[in-house]
Amino acid sequence: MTTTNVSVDRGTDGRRGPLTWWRDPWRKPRGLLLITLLYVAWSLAPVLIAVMFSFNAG
Amino acid sequence: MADRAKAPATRWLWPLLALPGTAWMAVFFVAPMYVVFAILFGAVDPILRQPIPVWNPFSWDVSQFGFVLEHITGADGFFGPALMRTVGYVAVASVLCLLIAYPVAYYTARFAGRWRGLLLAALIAPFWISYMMRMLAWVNLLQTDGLVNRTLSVGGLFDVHPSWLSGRPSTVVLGLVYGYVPYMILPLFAGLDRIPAATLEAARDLGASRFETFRRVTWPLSRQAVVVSVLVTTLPMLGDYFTNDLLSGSPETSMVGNLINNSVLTPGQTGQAGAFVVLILLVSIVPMVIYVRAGRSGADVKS
Repeated sequence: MTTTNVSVDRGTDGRRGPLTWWRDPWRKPRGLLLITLLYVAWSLAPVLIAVMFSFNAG
Repeated sequence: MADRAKAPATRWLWPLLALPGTAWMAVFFVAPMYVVFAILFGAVDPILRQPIPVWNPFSWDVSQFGFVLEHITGADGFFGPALMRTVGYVAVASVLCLLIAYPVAYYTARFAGRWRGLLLAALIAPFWISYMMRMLAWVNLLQTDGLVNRTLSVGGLFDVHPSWLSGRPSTVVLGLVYGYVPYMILPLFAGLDRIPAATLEAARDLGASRFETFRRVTWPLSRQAVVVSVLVTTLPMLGDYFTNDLLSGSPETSMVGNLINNSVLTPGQTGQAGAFVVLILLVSIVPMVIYVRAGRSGADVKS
């Protein structure tokens, strides 16, 4: 694994701003994570909801 | 000398290994396809309206195929809209499937870490549930008094009652995307998982941005997996009819699969169903050729 030194601008409280976070080339892929979680929920929720409420409603 | 001595022993190895697959294709693809041709170019019983297959190709009658071709375009082209609709729906659904499947497969292959096994299980979970049950789940949700409309009307606060299941193209495309996305994710995951992480890290170390790395490294290396996954989903979509039947049931959204189903169920029109099958086969040859060419170029790169 290769690591890169990235100059990170931090505020007085040590937290990174959104621009710095965006420019960080090694930031965590939160967008991909969000899409994946939304997809998993979308793929399973309709069946689970239908089983819980509709299919058993007679 | 040793190689020459080995040659006769291994000469029949590869043909023997290919034999089961060849026999399978002959029995379950070539023979049924010949039956379709025999019915398409055969005759119809004038009283019972049952198809009479003609097995001799020299006696084939092309009138049923000609009837379908004549009614695709022009004033009497009542088959044309369904065929064009099929192309449109399948194209839109395939693009949406790819837009959903690629990021999900990429995240699972590269970033899931210790959650990878659980995530893969969740991605495979739709395969444990029958396709029809998954569509019926949407039928329940999308009914006029279903959960979707109740949510949109915020428990009756607003008067929102769209009829989702009465011939809406968007509902059919949603059904196709929902049904076929899992089939696209797995081949994409397999392809993306094989990309060496070192190539991506090298690109980033050499100054490429995230987008450049994707454009110059990830996308070219995953192109063959994309072609395979699009094929795996597009070809079944072309012949799909029950998604439409369950989520719409309207002739306004019928696809070529519905034409085949209706023709088979109508006495005397089984030959027309064969004509539609042949049309799908001809259309699907194009992506197959693209796939074979992509595979060949991949082999060239390897050699």
